[in-house]
Amino acid sequence: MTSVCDEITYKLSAYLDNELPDEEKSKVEAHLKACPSCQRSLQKLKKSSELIATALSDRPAVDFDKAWENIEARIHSRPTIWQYLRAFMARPGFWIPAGAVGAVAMLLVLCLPIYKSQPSANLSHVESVSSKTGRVMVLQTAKTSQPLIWIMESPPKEKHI
Amino acid sequence: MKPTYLLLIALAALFLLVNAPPAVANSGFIADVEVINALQTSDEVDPELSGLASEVGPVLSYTGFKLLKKSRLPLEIGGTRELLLSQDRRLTLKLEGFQANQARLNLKIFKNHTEIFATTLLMIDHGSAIIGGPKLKKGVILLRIEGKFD
Repeated sequence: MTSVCDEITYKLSAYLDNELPDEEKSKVEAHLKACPSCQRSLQKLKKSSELIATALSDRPAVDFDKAWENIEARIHSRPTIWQYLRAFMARPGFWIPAGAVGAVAMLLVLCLPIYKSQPSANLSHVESVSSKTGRVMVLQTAKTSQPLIWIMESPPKEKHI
Repeated sequence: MKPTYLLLIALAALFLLVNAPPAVANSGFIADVEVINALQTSDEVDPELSGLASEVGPVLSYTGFKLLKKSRLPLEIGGTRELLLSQDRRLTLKLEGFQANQARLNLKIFKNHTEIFATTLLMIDHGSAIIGGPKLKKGVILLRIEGKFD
């Protein structure tokens, strides 16, 4: 290939697109008539152009404009709390520690009423009481909450004459 | 360590701290028993009973307190002691054992030879309990049991 061919090959794309001035267009056409190599180059270029044009002319399977609108809307919108939660819960390894924390919390909640219902271990208190002479009350003293057991003895039975 | 596991460990430690019983190694209990006559018709309070008067007075409306008898009863686990309250009444105290920081004390009152009253008390160290009600003269009998671990 000669340097002229190099120069012509460089201009072939513009020639194909009809972008060359008339003078240069005439030069290229004159060269093409006499140069089989440059003719082949032109043919290749034409084929490539036709392929690209065909690909572009096909209707796309995806509406890219609409898709881009959606993407842009999501980029600019703020995620809701539920989206944050969903994303957090979808993290790998979330459920095992979360389940363990939940189990411990449930254990605490279940044991707290039992613990609270037990008499305080910091005070003396009455575990059981029984009386054969009357009723019994279990009270607490005013200031220090000491246990106070009060026995109310039954009155003696009246004698009937 | 991940924060989640640290939180788990902290929760477990808190749970154990709340529920762990303290370590106690006691073998005996010394019970001081006071037999007291409480009156509504008198304002006289024995000096050593002034604390009792302020504790019991507002609850039972008794204003006069006279100490009739005071006894010290050392108890070992499983051991029983007796105290004569009056001509026909006696008190028995039995130390059943210890649980956590409390002594389990079984107390019974007998009239002649018949058990008329029984109670089980869980007493802390230097704690006390009061039993009252049976009639005596113009008032009632109070028993104050104060105890300390040995």
